[in-house]
Amino acid sequence: MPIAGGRFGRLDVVFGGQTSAFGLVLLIGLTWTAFTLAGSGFLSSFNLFSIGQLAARDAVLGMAQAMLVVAARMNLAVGGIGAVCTSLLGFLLVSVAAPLWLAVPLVCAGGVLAALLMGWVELTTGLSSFVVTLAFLSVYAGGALLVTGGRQFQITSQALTVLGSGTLLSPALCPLVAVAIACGMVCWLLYFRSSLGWKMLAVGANERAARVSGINVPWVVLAAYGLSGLLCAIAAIMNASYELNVNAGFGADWLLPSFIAAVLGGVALTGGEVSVAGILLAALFYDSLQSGLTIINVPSYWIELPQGLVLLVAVLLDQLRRRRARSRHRAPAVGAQAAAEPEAAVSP
Amino acid sequence: MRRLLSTQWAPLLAATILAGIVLGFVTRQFGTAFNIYTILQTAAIYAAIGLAQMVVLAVADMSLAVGGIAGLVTITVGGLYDAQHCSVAAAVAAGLGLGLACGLVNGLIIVGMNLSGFIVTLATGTAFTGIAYGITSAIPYSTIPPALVSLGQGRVSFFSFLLLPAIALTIAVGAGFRWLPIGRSLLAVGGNREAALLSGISRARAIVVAHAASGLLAGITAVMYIGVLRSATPATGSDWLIISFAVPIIGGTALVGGEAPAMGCFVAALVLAAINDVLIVLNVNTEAVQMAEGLLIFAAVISGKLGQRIHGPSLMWRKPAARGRVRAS
Amino acid sequence: MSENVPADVPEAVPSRFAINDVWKSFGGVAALSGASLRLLPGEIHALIGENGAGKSTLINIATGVHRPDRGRVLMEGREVHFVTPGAAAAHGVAVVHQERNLVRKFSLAENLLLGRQPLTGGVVSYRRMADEARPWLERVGLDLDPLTEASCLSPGQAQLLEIAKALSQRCRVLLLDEPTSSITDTEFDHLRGILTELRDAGTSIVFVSHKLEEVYALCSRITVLRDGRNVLDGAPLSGVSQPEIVRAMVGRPIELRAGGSSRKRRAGAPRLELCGVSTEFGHRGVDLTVRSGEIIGLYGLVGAGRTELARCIMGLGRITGGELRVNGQPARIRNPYDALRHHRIGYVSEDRKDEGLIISHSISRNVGITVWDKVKHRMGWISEKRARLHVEPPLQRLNVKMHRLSQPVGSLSGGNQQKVSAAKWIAAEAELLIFDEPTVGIDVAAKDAMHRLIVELAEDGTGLLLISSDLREVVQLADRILVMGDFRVLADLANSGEYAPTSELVMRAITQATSQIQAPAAGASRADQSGLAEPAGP
Repeated sequence: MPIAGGRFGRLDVVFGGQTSAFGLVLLIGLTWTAFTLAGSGFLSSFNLFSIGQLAARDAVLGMAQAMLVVAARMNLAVGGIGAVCTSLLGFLLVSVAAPLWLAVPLVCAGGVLAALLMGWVELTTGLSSFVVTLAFLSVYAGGALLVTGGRQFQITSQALTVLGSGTLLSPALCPLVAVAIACGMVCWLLYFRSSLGWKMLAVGANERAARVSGINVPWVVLAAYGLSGLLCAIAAIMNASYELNVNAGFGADWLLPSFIAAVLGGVALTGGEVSVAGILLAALFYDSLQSGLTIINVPSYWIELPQGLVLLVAVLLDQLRRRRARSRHRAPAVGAQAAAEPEAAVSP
Repeated sequence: MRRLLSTQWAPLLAATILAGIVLGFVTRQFGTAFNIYTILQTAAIYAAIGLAQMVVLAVADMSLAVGGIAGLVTITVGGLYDAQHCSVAAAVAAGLGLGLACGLVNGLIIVGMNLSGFIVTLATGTAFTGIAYGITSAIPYSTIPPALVSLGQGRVSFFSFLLLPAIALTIAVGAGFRWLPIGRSLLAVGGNREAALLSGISRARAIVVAHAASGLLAGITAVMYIGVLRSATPATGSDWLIISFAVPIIGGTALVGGEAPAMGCFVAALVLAAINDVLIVLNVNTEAVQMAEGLLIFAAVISGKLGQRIHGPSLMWRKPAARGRVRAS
Repeated sequence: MSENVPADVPEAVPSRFAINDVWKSFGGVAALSGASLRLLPGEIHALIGENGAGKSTLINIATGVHRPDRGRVLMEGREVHFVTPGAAAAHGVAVVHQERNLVRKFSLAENLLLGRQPLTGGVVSYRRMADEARPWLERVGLDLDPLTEASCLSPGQAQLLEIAKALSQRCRVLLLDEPTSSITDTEFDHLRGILTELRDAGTSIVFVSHKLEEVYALCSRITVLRDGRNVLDGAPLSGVSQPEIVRAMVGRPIELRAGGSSRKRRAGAPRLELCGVSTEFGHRGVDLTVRSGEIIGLYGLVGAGRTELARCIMGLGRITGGELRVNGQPARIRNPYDALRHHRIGYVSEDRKDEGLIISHSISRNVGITVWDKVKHRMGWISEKRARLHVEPPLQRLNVKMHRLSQPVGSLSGGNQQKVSAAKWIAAEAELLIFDEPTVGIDVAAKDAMHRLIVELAEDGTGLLLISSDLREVVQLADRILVMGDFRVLADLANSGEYAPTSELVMRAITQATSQIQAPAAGASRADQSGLAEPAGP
């Protein structure tokens, strides 16, 4: 009974988790066709360019969120770290007039440190990642605004502008897409070809078992936090590259896209399961939908509703798929497990 | 009286009052009746927001949709009054009914699909906000029922009228958890799910009720807030997420469930509102308030954690329950 | 099925509650094969059995959690079918579980009346609640204000509260599942008084315990289960001696396969030494040496502290005193990572589902988890192909039945899951391996495979610590047997490989736990003469 392997299996399981990549391609195709027919200019280079721009950032945000969700945690502070990194970038480039090659690594380091601090607090206090990252969200977002005093930074760096608003190969392709794909490839290598990624998946799926099997759980958790912070920093730089006029308020609306990209992309909320292609495609779908709604003249104030609905539908479908998969593959094994269960309960 | 002093929020309240008195002498602005009125007005709103979150935390769940529901209720009340020319009472009743219904939807999805409240309310909360923006085209209703304005803005010296509903809600929620069978069931489910199950208490019912109550409370908060803002804007609630957790957590609500200190919520709201005000009076940037909230959440949960640690040893997975004493002789 | 049918229980006295010849299996593994439990009105009945003997299943059938495959449940002579725990409660069968089912923030009275709090005009009346609860609390001797918060109770008092709760539901049959595992002497004396009173009032009480002194102090009859069958079926305790009970529990020699003696023994240098170790769990003065190529059996009744000792060795619990040496060097193991990485110690957990395996992950990942650090490239890169080199040999060695390596481990049978759980430590080439109840809940073939594996590993020079509640298994495999009781090592016995004399020595050690161990009995003459030593110093 193919559960893990059946990638192009039945349509009924196509919309979530392991099969999400295929389902999302289908969904994106449908969306694009529908919007091309319904409105004008959906396939124009300008529109595709802006979809790419936004989707690239959202995909990186999704990966930042997934990094901790995979380890059975969550990062509510993606926006907080984003605010810190945006402010830091603005400060370095505008106030200090530091060169870009110096500013970017420093901003990345800032993001990593900010996230590591959260990880350290979680490990030392034993609080849930929800509370820790929630509190840090307000500390970071408030702190960034406080330190910068709400100042606007006008970024003039040539290289950054090219990255955000230049074109790649065709006028329809934003260079940021390449950045997102590069991040995706690194994440893929991490999860599927590195021992750290394997350990993160193991910790996320069953932290106790991972610990007893000799995994150094605190280090793995710290690494997940650090990498999540790094991706937040990259997202902040990507955001600044096309917004150009930035302030510490950036990041306030990042939480939702980060979860949409991760959950719609098939990252299990219970940890231990990831699909990098799913995250990239989910971000593309999400921003195509947003842009398409604008194309067919849905007023901008109706934009937020589909965001919520997409997430809701994604979560519901994912849960349905999981139930189905569980009932299917549990059938032969459940008895054997239960046999060990009743007596094991007696042990001290 | 001794019981009153031994509660978790008593020291917090004492410290705040003390700091307030000191500040009253140090700065001229702080002690004025108008300033205290502002603090109490904010505190009333904070307390109501906090209660809306607390009822869900009591069953060991959470709701990220408090703000979204409030936004939707705000424009419903405003729209019915301004655009549809309904009476105030009808508009408010419809708004509260809608809040209740939104909460009910959350609870039913969570229970029906066996999902975490976190992700469901993240989604529905956004959807509610989205509907609010969509219906109003993001334009606030500016004709506000005078009754709501005088509720939101009215005062006698330092006493803001908003305190009346806030205190009433605190008492009602506190009493509900203390005296009503359903309140006890909610706490039992949050406190020990197994024990509740064995006693025939339905967890599904408790979760649905908690979310519905949360929706109703969010709706009431929205009605209170309309008068403060003097406009019914769909943006209401968009920045309530952190405060909704900060108030109950600082007030001593455990995230693991089983507790619902309504009075603690009220005190925490006072404290947060006072800090908010002090930072403004002292000419510290208002953004510092947000930071302070975050730090206070830490202070609250960590002090709570430390309290627990004194009671039980921190073993890895297993309590040493199996250890027995050798019977002498 | 019952080897010892009570003779002096008059047939005329009808049972209050009876479970007759019930069979229950889970996914092909039999948990109960014709077990019975018959309770007379007004008696305290001991239910004894080792890990995996079927006690819990029997209790679960009595309380409606499970339904029997075959057999009957009778209440006052009439057949009843408990579909849910509620149905059992309605018939007056109440159970007090080992885990405390209390809402800590609620008062005693409210916990007692949870879900049926008295109302006055739709509002919870605390005064009436206190009034209603008080008689029940007094009945069990809890002289506390009924409105005290339950979090103030000691474990023993919490136990009494749960008994009061059961009584308030008008139970006629009360099942106590290890009520004394965490209570003090005075609390036990008190509990005894209460239970005696209840018995005299006509309640039938089932008392599950591992402490035989308590059983003798309380009960009048005893039922012993082993392998899902009755070994003793309601025998009067006056006619059964303590060693007889232990013997009934652990079983007697059935055909033994090639025992420990047939193995080439080449005990080498000490791998692991514990000298006077005490732990946070309450162990004290534990001495233990495991040499390479040696199998040390760690035997004891449930609650003796064996698993906890293993956890402390792995760094999952704190060692508070004494010295732990690995390969002769003093070592400090803070977590399993240290244990594996620096000392090559592995631990096959008894809790396969939550701790031994990552059920949702593939076989390959579950086995490879211990070797990823070894097979990764310098930069941390790794591939399934590289991992497979280390994953496949142990799986083949254990003959794990699977379709492919990428199959989720949860889809395997219990026996194969256990093999996978062991395979990861073979892949890790652990030099010291702790097996904790390796054969509980698995089928006979898998059991055999595990036994063979343990012997082979020893022949390869691995030091093995075998924790088991199955004495036959221990005698069959171990070179030496350490008997544990109450978080101490009671005896360090050389294993002759002959079941009868060795089991005799083990039982003697357990039953004389508190006093000095005396000279070996005549029946044990073939045992190694140095076998019965005091836990010696370093």
